[in-house]
Amino acid sequence: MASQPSSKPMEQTSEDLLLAKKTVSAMIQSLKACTLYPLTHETCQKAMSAAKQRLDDFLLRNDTFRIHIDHDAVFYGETPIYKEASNYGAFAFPMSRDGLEWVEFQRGIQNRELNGFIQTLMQHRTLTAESEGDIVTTLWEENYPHIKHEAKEAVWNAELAGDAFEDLGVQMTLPASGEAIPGMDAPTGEGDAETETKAGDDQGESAGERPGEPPPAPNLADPSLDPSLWQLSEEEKELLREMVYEEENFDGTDNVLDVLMILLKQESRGKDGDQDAEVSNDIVSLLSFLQEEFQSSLDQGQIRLAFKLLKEIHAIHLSIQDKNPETARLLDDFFSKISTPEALSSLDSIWPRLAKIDPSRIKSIQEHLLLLHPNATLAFAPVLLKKPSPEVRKMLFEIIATYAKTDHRPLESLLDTAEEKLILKLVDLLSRLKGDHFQQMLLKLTGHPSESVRIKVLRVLFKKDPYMIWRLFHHIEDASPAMSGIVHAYLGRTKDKMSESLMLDYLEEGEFKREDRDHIMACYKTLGQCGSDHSVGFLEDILLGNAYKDRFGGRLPIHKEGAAAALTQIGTPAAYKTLKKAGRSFSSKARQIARKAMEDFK
Amino acid sequence: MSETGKSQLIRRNQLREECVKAFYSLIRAARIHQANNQLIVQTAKEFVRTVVELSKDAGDVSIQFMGRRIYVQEKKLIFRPETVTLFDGIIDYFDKRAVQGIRLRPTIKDAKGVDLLAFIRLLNDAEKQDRPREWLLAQATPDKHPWVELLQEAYGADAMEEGDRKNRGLRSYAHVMESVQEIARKLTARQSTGLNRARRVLQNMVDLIMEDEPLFRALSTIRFYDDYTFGHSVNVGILSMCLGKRIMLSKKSLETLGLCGLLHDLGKIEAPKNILNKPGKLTDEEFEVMKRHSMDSVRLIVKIQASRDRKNDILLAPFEHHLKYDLSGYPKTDRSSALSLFGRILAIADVYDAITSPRVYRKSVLPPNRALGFMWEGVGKDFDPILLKIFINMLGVYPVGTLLVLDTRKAGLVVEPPEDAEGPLEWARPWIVLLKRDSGNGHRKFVKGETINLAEKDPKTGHYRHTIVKSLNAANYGIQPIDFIR
Repeated sequence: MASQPSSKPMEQTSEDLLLAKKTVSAMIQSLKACTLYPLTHETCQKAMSAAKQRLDDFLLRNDTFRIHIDHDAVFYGETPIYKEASNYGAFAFPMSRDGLEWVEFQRGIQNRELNGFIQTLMQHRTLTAESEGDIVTTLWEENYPHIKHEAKEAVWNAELAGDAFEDLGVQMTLPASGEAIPGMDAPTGEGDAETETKAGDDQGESAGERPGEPPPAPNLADPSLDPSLWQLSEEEKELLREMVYEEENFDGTDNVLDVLMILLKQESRGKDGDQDAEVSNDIVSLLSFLQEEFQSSLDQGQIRLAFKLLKEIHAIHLSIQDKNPETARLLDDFFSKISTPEALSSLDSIWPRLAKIDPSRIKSIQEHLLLLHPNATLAFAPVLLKKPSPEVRKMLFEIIATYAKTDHRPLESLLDTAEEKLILKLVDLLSRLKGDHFQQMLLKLTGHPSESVRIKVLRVLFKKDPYMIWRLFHHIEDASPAMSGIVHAYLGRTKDKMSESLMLDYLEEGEFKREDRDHIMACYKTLGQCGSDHSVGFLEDILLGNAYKDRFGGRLPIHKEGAAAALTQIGTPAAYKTLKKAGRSFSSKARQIARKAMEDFK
Repeated sequence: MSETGKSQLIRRNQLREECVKAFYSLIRAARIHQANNQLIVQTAKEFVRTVVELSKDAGDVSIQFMGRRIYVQEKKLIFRPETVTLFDGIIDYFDKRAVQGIRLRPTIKDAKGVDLLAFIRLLNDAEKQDRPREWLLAQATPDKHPWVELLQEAYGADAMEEGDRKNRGLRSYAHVMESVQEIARKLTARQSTGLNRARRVLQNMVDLIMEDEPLFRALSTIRFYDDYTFGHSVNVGILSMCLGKRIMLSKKSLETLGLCGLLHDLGKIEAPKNILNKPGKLTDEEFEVMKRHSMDSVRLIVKIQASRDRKNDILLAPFEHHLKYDLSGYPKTDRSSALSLFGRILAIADVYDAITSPRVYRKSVLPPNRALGFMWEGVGKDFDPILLKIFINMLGVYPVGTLLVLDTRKAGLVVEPPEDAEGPLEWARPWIVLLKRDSGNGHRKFVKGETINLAEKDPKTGHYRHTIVKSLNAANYGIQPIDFIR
């Protein structure tokens, strides 16, 4: 198979032999290096260069370097120059397994060719019954100008080098019809009644019995037919050149997808829910292939094809989901599989380009991406960190939001695992989504390890829902001053009964987890900001009474200071009256605090 | 092939190699040993034994070289690493003596040991002569050595080369057929299957087609009754590749096209046999079942273990092979794209092979020339006009294998298209091999007769010597054209 036959056998010298050994050894080294490291790795490159150098050294003395392969050994001429340590080595054995008899490297060989040869050996180290090709098919395909080879005609029957005609003779036997050839050896007058040019139908068959069976047919050899009829005109020759060029240079994936869709429609139709296992297997195979098609289209930047596939499979899904739930489930699986970050990673390159396209196309892209499974959230959300254009950002927000409405789990899992920056972006997104699920997600994020996240979430939640303060009030004791500050700020933003009630309850109960001065003071100030005369009684008790001494212990003065500050913030006449009253108190501390507060009040 | 047949074949090949080995040992031993030396005696006995064994099958035994190949009994010996030195040694040996080889007669068994050794020594000594061949011819005369003849030219060189090529072609055909059968068998058994074997043998076939396209056009006349689907698939693959070669497709594309041909009817393995082989007309329902096969071929190709790119390359044409150029035909779909080039090629090759092949349910079929005529009626509607024209040009108006009956009451098979045909009359005058009746040879009713050129004219009258009376399909008469071609 393949390759021109070599020239006459070489006359070996001991120097040639040594060089041959070194060359093969260098090839094996480069094969090993390339097995261990990526091809671009320095070790690999060095090994490849060394092998090429050895080969060039050999080819300086000889036009060609031909090695014969025999199971686990390599021969140069009749001399074994390499034998693999194990029976299934990586150099000779794969070549022998694939039926290579010899490989010849010719003077002028390029790095590209030798590297290609080594890579071919690597690629086909192991061969399975399901392989698409082997070393020989790859060498044939690559057709390296300076690497020739000869392989057994077929490795499966290599011993049958003899007479295949005899082999086929049995199978090829046609039953003798017993019918005489009309006109042959016939007595004069028989069989020559008319010449071929006039002969009628001699088929003697029942045309039309089978589909596509031909009716009686004209004879192309009829002299009345001008053979120029089937000569190509110049125009046709040009068309033919175009046809061939097109076939060899253009991608027919579009047409293949059409066919696969036709097949999928047919297979998915099923029998109203009565899908047998065999058909399901077929659909699985088909969908697995379509998954590859989708992936490959994306990888090659053929977004249109990928979208076409999405759209059509989605349409099939819609059409069968009620009638054929089993197939619908398979199609769901398909969408799920093509929506993973790995599968969609190729889209990364298109986001920057989208900034330049018109909005109607962005809309169309959005519509198609929405056909994906919500799992695609995991792929698309990280794009938000790459500073997409406002249009793309908006599109991604809408897409992820729509996914989340269908299935919130991918978004939820992302919130559990994503880095802080991304979560901050997603909080923006969640801030726009309505529904318990999304609120729950935000609430969960208030416990996120990142303070920035918690702060942002808290702000978002307060903004979204005024009643949220009931659920988030406990953050008033948050160790992070920023967090508690937000609660204070929220509560104290205006006079508000609900806030007052919350603060009052908190202070009245007195079960503080944080008892530092700043916190206590902040609480009273907040109460003052949101509070009213309704709180004055409580504050007076704190400022003037001792009933709370047990509760606040040695820190009572802080509370008195707080109460005074709160009263100052409340700023009503009743509050002022209480302060004045305190200013006359028997307790010197209370008096001192109240008087200072009254200063502020003024 | 049966196991017995296979082992016989292997044994014969071994024997041929043993014969060459013994000959080489003998010429080397004769350089250093006397006639009574045990090594000489043993080697000579071995040599004679192998010659006598081989001559049982085919009479004379020739050992000769052509190019850098060794032939024994006109069969090429396969180079293996362990035989490289031996074969090179033999070739150089003959080369230095300016002879092509030797032919040994069965009577060697009666030759005396000293005579045999004397001949071998003559051969050895010839190297020292200025004109070794002439010297040898003068010394080794038939009266002295009647059991041997020096070959000055390759004996049966043309036949050897032809036979070799034909056998290579047949082996390639057999391997390709086996590969598609294996794929079908595995798919039927729900086993995974790849394309390695099919690709390997198809690449080999592509190489052979590039060298000798006419041989493969001839091979595409092979017809099977029992294994129609697979034989048809191989024929369609061959015809498609030949047509592909004509339009200058690359070798890689030819391989792909071959695969398409090989797999285009794969879906038929799932068609019920009672419908597939039903004699007579199919009912509408049965026809609908049959029409599924192109779609089923696609479905099965999808299941083959191969890369996405490879499958993409080979899916479309099998799907399209029953769609006509005007997009009528089946499967009926909403698709309105024009047929692919490979689909259009396959459609032509498929119809041609189908309508020229006898089937279990259809014993009598169109002769090839009329098959082309039938197809020509569908040009532009059923078939791509450009490709059909090239197909007709490729096969000729009387394609190879057409059975022709002459006004001389002789019948023959077309073996070659006419040479340099100009005009309609020459176009219709190919070379044929005459068929002779052979009552004594088993299933074969005919044997190969004389090869004649139908374009030959009688110099006296200026008229053609022969007139074609009828064209017939050889298969209708139990004739396998490849038995007679080449």
